[in-house]
Amino acid sequence: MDDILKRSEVHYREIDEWRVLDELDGETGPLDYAMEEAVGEAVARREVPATLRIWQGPQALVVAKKDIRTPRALQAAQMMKQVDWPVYVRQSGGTAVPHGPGTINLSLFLPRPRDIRWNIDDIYRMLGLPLIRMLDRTFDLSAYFGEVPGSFCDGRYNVVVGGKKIVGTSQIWKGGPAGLVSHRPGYILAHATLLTQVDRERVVSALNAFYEMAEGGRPVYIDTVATLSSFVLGPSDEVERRARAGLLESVGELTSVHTTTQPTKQEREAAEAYIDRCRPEHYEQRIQS
Amino acid sequence: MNLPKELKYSEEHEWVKQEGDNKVRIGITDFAQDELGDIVFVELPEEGDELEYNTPFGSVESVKTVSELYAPVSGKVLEVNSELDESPENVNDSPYEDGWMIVVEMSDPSQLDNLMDADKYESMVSE
Repeated sequence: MDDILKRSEVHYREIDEWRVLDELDGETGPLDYAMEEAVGEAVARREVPATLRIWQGPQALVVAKKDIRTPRALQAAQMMKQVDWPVYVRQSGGTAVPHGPGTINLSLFLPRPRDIRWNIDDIYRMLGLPLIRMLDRTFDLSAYFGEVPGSFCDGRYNVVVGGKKIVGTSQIWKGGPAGLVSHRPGYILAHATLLTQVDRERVVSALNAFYEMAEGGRPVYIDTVATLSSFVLGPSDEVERRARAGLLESVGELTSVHTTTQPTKQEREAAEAYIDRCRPEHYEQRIQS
Repeated sequence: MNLPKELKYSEEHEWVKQEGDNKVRIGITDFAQDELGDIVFVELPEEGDELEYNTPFGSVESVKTVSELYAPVSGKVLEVNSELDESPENVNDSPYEDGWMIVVEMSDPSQLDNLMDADKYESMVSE
């Protein structure tokens, strides 16, 4: 594990310039998801450098497009909205992830290289490195990558503490297949959701309700999932404050960027234009045609 | 690397098989599927959709990673491999046969000239 993380640190240093966005204090809403695409496009056009974005979404279930491709799934999304768990659609893969208060998202944006430089595994490791370092240095928690069968959005690059999933991850490669040469401009987006202090029972119930209605069930088991507050004593707000500070410190160390910024005006305008793409209704016409 | 000589190849790792003056069958290469890993979902256009050369026409998902696919030609989608809805692993197991993705009626057959033969594609991916 140490060797893997050291190689990931080298990948960070291979990039000349970084930008760090800290949006944790802003209002949350669907624009947060549209911003992912807007930032990615700006990175692809090289208008802004490679970017790490720290943010929080609104309370919601965030699904990949494949989970919203049937009329039944759309109905499930509408039902979930009525119980204060709106469903938003992300660009990357995987299955539903809970967002909202008690979670912190970290997104990694890289311009697509013109040669083979990174593969899917490299990108997941780069994404996980600042989180694993934060968990170690701020909370003395030993975290690692691994699968946790029965957890939400399971995959081999979950960040795991004590056998329980604490971070979910996924990716999209725009501009051609992942890990391969492509001569067109594009970007790589990898994002992670860290559970800091959510009510696990409530979150797992929401995930299970969505999949029960959408496809007859894809159970998530509560014992597979942990939050930072599961391991760390103290007021949950304080735990979240320390997590944020520790994450900014890890990110700063890896990127040499110690001053965070906000998205540019152009990125905000682009996000406004993309906002419909994160709503399930956007895919309704396609499903019914 | 399995690269049938009778096919043409795009820089974005699609293969193209000409099946008549204006008709082509399209999928992704053996090299691409191998690099991507186990494919769990394939998003494709619908029959009748118009594809534009060099713009995204679909995506594949592997390792919770979505990858865009680019149209190697412009034209109208005549057929879509709906088997991939239930069996996306066909792209891994049989990229040039059961894993085909779409059949397109080309609007500009001269776009085939932009594609590579097997030797040139092999050189590109070996660089």
